[in-house]
Amino acid sequence: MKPLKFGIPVFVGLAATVFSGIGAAHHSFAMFDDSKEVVLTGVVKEFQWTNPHTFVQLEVKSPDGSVVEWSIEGSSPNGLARIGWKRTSIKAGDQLAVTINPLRSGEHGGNFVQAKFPDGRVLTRRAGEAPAAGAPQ
Amino acid sequence: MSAHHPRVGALCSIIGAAGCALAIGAFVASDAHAASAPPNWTGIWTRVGSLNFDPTTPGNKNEDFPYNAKYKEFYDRIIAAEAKGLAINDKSADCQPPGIVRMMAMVYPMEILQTPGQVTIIAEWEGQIRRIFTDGRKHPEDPDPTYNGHSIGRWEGETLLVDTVGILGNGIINDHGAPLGEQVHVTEKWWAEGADTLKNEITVESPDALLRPIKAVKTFKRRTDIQIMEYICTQNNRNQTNADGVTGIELKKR
Repeated sequence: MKPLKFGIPVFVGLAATVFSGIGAAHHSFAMFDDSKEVVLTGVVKEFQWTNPHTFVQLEVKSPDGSVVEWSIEGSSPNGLARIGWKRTSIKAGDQLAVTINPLRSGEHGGNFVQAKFPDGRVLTRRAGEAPAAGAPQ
Repeated sequence: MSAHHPRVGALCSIIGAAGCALAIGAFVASDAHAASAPPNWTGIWTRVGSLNFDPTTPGNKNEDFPYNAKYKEFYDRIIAAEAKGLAINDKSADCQPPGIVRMMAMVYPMEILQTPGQVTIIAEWEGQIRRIFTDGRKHPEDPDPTYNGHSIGRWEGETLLVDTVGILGNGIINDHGAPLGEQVHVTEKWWAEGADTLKNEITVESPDALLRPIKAVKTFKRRTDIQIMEYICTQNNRNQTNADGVTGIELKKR
């Protein structure tokens, strides 16, 4: 069990097998570039714990001081709850470094890979997943 | 099997002890399956493998299907668009039910309920329900097409054979949007391997799109550690397709 989430016991081996690719449940993920990972650092405006997908609305400050809101799509609450997430795992106001596979269109959206809190806790999209390469350590 | 078996017992009382032994032998052969009750698959199951029709094909690979020229052209367009990040024919992006073929490649768990004369599959995905009638009824004449069709099944020993007709046309086969034609017929063979593994060999015919039937074996694992949860796609669907039929993401701005 890697740098897990809040010490919640999960069935790592089984879940990793069963839920691999769970993100692609309800629609095609072709719009995301899964060969790229981008780390966004910002403050959570809203966490939508909803089907068919969860969303983190993250406000990211640009170098020029302007703030851009990113829409970061995650797996469904059903899949995430089974690997230990809760609707309160991310809250408005949380400081987060979120790793995403960005939209190919270049718009301000992406697919959730993982999130890291200032205290080092990491939320991953699959059970037992190691932090993404290039993630802030 | 003995003379106490109701059918053999009645026969023995008519033909006497001499023929009884022969009769028992004959019934043992013919009755071996009928005598065993169907296995009990009631419970929660999760499918294993990729979201492709054949779960052993990696999820990021496009499967080859024996399409006729018309559907091959359509499928080639779907694959080419997907490679550019523009998913088309992505039926469930707009919260349409997946339909029986795509549904059986589901990532979410399903619950099986076995009741007299019926096996019911409740998929977590969109709360889709398949009712497989095992009470001996026939398909209705000329049924109205529906997403999951009309299923009848029969037990052959510990194997459940299912035939489904009346399936809504133009569905999809896998999560890459591989298309089905207007005409679809599905047959399935379900069996258990041990207490916790269920297999489903599914054969799909779509004669106006596929030159020959396609077949795959799905594997499901029994789960006693989870419950079926609610999943209503329209709760907050931010992935509606655009005017060109391409799946997108509804961005929010400050």
